Amino acid sequence: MFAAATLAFVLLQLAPGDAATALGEGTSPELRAIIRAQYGLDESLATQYGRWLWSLLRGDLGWSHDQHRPVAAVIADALPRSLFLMGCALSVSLVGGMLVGAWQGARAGSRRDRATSTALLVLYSLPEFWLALALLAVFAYRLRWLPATGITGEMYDYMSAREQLVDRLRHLVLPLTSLSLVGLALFARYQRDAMQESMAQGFVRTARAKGLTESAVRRQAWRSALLPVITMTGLMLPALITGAVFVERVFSWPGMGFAMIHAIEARDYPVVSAGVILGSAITAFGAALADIARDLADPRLRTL
Amino acid sequence: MSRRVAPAFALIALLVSVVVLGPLLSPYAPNAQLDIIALRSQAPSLAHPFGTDAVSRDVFSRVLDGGRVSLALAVLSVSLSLVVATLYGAISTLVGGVVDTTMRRLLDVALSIPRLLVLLAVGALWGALSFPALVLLIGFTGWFDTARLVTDELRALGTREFSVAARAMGVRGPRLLWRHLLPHLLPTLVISASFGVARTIALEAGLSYLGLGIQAPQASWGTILHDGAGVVETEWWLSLFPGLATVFAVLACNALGDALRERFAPDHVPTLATSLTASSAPSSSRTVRP
Repeated sequence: MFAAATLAFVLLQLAPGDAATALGEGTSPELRAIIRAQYGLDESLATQYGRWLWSLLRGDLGWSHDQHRPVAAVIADALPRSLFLMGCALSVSLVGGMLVGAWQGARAGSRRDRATSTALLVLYSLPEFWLALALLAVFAYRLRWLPATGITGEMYDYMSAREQLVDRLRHLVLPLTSLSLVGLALFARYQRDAMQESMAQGFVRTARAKGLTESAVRRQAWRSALLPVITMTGLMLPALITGAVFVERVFSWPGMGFAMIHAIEARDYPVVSAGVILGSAITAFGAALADIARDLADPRLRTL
Repeated sequence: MSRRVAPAFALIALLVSVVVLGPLLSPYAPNAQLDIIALRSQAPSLAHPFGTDAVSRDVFSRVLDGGRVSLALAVLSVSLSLVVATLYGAISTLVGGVVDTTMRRLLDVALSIPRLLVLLAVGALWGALSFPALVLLIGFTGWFDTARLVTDELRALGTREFSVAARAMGVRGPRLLWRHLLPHLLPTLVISASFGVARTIALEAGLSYLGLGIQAPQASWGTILHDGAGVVETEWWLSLFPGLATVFAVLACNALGDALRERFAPDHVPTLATSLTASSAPSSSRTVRP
């Protein structure tokens, strides 16, 4: 975390240009000097770093030069929208991927398994943003079934509660589909390999020998095949923040990814560094969470 | 086993030959503005199978030329990553002790930094990056997971009989690594590289699509997508064809990785997930099971 914060600071200081440069060519040198002094940009690097780190420790993320409000407010606006979109996408791909993968792993090597594997490989190879573009072109522009951009329609404020819900869902479908399809393929590949491995193990033979039905056997095998998938889920958590950068861009979904790209373009460093720090915090958190979940799911680890 | 290797190699062969023969196949120069008035934004036709863009360049020629750039970028930066990762893993394992522990912790830290955000930030803040700079940038930010894989694998290999025997014979340092350990590491590296190339092709397409990767007028699959970004509705061919090319290339590399994995390391998924699970149970993931 600390290293990531320092890296974020160093990286942004190394970059040419600052908030004063972003004002454009026409600004007079005097005005630039005033702005630099106002934001403390003319002080030594060590001073700036110390002050920045201190305020970070107190939970103060800084001030967004571009949006003229605290960085925390910018993130508080964008984060829930990203979490909502990615939370939905992660759930859909996790559940779908586990179902498909377990189904495949139970009959590994069969023709149906291989056909599904090929289909999943193609899905897995689709760049998310391009799939998003394709869906956008077909369903929003050509067929005009679904809205193209944003979270809500223009008339959202004038709708009844039920229409508002429908409106939100209609805006969710396309981004959700493009994110979930790729994620589903990812999870299914892991689940399939794990399931295949677990179906080959001794306890499965024992269960069969005891005369359990095939579906009961599969349930037992599936339990032990959960572990790699749980690890994967933990590792996918940072994708909640960064994973949707491209898709949010395509659908103009005003979440973290969208905010980050905007901040980068406006040279709004406090927002950018806050995003990087947040991202690494969530990565560490996800790994820890995966460890805990693995302990819960695996009785062999629990006694340790 | 070889059932899946053959089609994967066929895909790769097709991809490589199209890219190598690109200049011979392409009907026009990739940056030639053919006729800015008459041939502007033409839909696909016999003369221009992929259509033309807003400044009348032939998209087919640009996709062929762009493929060279996209693939070269991916292959070069992944090679760089592999070399750095192998060196890092080798130093960490061979030196051992405190150095090993420290280097592993550093790797954990590096892995927790969201790579995409860093790339976006650097790409945007440092402005137009040249091709070598992009190779360095993508290469030096992409080796952490491979290094993790190499470290785990080397540590597991170090306990196998052949390497214990080699050390008993007095083989040390680079020679132990080069003659005894590296040959066993090779399948892991090749598999990891083919998935890495697939990921990097998609990454380049994404970065260039946002206007942060390869710079205009040089064509790459991502830059053509960038040209078509605002006009998906009317000039769909600008998004469709480079996108299909990207999907094809990514698919070929992923298929190769899958096939090789099935052939050489059946129970080994060379990605972050296994290296993380492997770290809690340090046994070689490629050890032959009974």
